[in-house]
Amino acid sequence: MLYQKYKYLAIIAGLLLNLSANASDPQIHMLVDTCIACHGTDGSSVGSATPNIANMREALFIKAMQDMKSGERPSTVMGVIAKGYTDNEIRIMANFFNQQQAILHRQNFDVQKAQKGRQLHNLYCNGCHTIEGPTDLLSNNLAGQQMPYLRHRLTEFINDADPTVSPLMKNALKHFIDNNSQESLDYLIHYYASLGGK
Amino acid sequence: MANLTRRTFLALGAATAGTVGFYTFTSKIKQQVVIIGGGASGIVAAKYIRKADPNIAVTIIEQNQHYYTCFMSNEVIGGSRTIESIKYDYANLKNYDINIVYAQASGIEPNAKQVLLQGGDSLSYDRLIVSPGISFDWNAIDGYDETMVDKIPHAWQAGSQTIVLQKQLQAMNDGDKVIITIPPKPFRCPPGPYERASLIAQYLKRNKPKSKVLIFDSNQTFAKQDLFMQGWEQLYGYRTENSLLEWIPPDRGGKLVAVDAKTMTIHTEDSEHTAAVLNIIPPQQAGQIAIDLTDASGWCPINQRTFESSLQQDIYVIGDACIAGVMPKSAYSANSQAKVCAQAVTASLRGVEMVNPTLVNTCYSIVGDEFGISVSGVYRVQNGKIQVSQGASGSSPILASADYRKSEVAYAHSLYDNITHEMFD
Ligand SMILES: Cc1cc2nc3c(=O)[nH]c(=O)nc-3n(C[C@H](O)[C@H](O)[C@H](O)COP(=O)(O)OP(=O)(O)OC[C@H]3O[C@@H](n4cnc5c(N)ncnc54)[C@H](O)[C@@H]3O)c2cc1C
Ligand code: HEC
Ligand code: HEC
Repeated sequence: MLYQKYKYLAIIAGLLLNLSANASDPQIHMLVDTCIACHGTDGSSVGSATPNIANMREALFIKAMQDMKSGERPSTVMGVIAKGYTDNEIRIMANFFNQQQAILHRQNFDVQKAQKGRQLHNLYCNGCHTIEGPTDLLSNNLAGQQMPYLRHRLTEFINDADPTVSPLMKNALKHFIDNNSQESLDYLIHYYASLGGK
Repeated sequence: MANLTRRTFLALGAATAGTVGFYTFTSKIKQQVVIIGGGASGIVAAKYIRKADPNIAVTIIEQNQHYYTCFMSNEVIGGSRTIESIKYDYANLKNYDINIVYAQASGIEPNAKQVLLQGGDSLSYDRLIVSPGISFDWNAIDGYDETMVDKIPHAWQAGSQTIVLQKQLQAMNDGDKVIITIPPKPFRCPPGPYERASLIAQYLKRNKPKSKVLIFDSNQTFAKQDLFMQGWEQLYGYRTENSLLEWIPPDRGGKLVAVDAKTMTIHTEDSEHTAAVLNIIPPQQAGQIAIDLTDASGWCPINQRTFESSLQQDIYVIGDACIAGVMPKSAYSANSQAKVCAQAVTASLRGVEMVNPTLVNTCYSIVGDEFGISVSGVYRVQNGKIQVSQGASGSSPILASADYRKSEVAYAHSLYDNITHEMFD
């Protein structure tokens, strides 16, 4: 596990090399403004399905864009849209969205499921997707992420439909499923949704 | 404020009470941007100019107190959404210090750099953005004009027209026919008429299964055609005897020639058809106020980098009214063009060069409550024209799971919530 974590870290670090943060304000906005009508102001979606990308880990943002661009990671619209941007532009956007504070909007969740989800999260997921405690650079904070999107991603992982998922996540999920029912994944989703804002 | 005529000053003062004092003191240094039309493009341009430079004063001239989005209005017509859910007002613009004048702009004087308002007032500008959407060519169809829209709606501008069409569908009998006629391209929202036909078919399937919707099309092909037809086959029995929907292209007599409102009959080149509900979508051109900015096509030619009119200096045209290379006339295009234009206007007022534009469009269409499809593109200016960037253009795959189609409906609604949030919150 530790070895895998370092191997993954190396891949991710590679993606961040040559980071050019030298774009001017108008240049940055010319790029990121095109995403807002789908992903919400500065990447925080009020729409209930499009993923929040505000505050996304830079390396994971780049990986997501590149994997959808190449078609390795399944997507609906993003495969087409990611093609329109150069590697350097993707880095510039990753840097911008990483710096945005996530404004999380209220979602409909079940309080009891969320409570069970919290316990499961602390046991199985918090080691990487740290919600309480110091930020992990390798994995996203899942707090407030849109429920349909979480459900969609986890289903993809379980069905082996996304070959780009990191071995860390894949193993963690296997470990979880081996010890819990698949339905209890739903508790986790309700827990993340419960962390949304007012 | 110094550059407003006295009567307009009073009108504006009433609309923006509280900020008037502020503007009076700073009027000498503030540059004025005036925007005609507070729709999908106009409001967004206003907000992005204010965001880029709070020293620029922005005034929107809008003829209506409320805005009904055309996007998702087909869901209202089909009965899966309320009219209230697509109705918005401009109250929040004050949070951005954007002035709004509720009036119809009646003329533009490029030499005096003034916009004339209905009633005789006028507004001066340093830069003018014209974003009035579309108007209809009422001379194109024999027997159909604007006096008939309460009996035979177009519903191609949302609001009361949307309700007229929705009510007519509810009132008709099971077994009655609905006819939609589609004008030649280009028109607002290329996949829109086919989405409408789909959602009317869905309404009929649930409520009037002996009825049928007939699409008379002036175009031989249409946007996302294969995907629409797949949806029609799966959901509405298309190409079977009991199909709820029929599509008639021009080579099979689909081209509309005349309408007889009294008998509710349409005439094509070689036949005539009667229906209980007629939805005539007339041919379109740029909004009336932009008439002097149009070319022979009826739309406004622009500098493809800046959206400045090719015909008049310091006047910019965005949204459906402009000719933006290969971009379709959609709300997402309008939104994206507004942001580029905001940068162009700000750069021009500062006397600096603007950066290279990047634009995006996505059009979702709801074929059924669980069947969504999309087409997307990223655009850049190449050889002076807005063109697809690096091959980034495409639509939903023809082979896709039911889950995939369903997820696109959720994403379409999500886009709707975010784009209207950006406009009105
Ligand atoms: C049925 C239907 C479905 C659609 N679905 C989609 C969709 O799913 N996705 C999508 O992206 N697009 C969709 N569209 C297209 C979208 O509605 C338009 O492309 C978009 O609204 C264009 O924006 P605009 O700013 O150019 O014009 P508009 O949004 O129409 O705004 C123009 C504004 O200017 C005002 N105005 C005009 N003239 C004057 C004047 N002289 N003085 C003062 N005010 C004036 C009008 O009152 C209006 O508020 C759809 C359209 C239709 C008809
Ligand atoms: C038409 C709507 C739309 C537009 C425009 C759009 N996105 Fe997306 N985005 C989505 C959807 C939907 C998904 C989920 C994947 C999919 O189905 O394509 C997504 C997923 C993503 C993800 C993956 C998030 C994760 O947690 O892994 C990133 C990153 C992203 N988008 C970035 C962008 C950027 C950057 C832009 C602008 C250049 C952009 N998107 C424009 C709809 C959009
Ligand atoms: C050992 C570290 C690790 C553990 C433990 C872990 N994950 Fe992950 N997870 C990751 C990494 C790394 C990714 C990024 C995947 C990628 O794009 O390569 C990820 C991605 C995800 C995603 C996709 C969304 C996103 O932001 O990329 C979800 C959802 C998710 N994890 C849920 C969970 C849940 C639920 C658990 C607990 C059952 C869990 N993870 C446990 C490392 C982990």
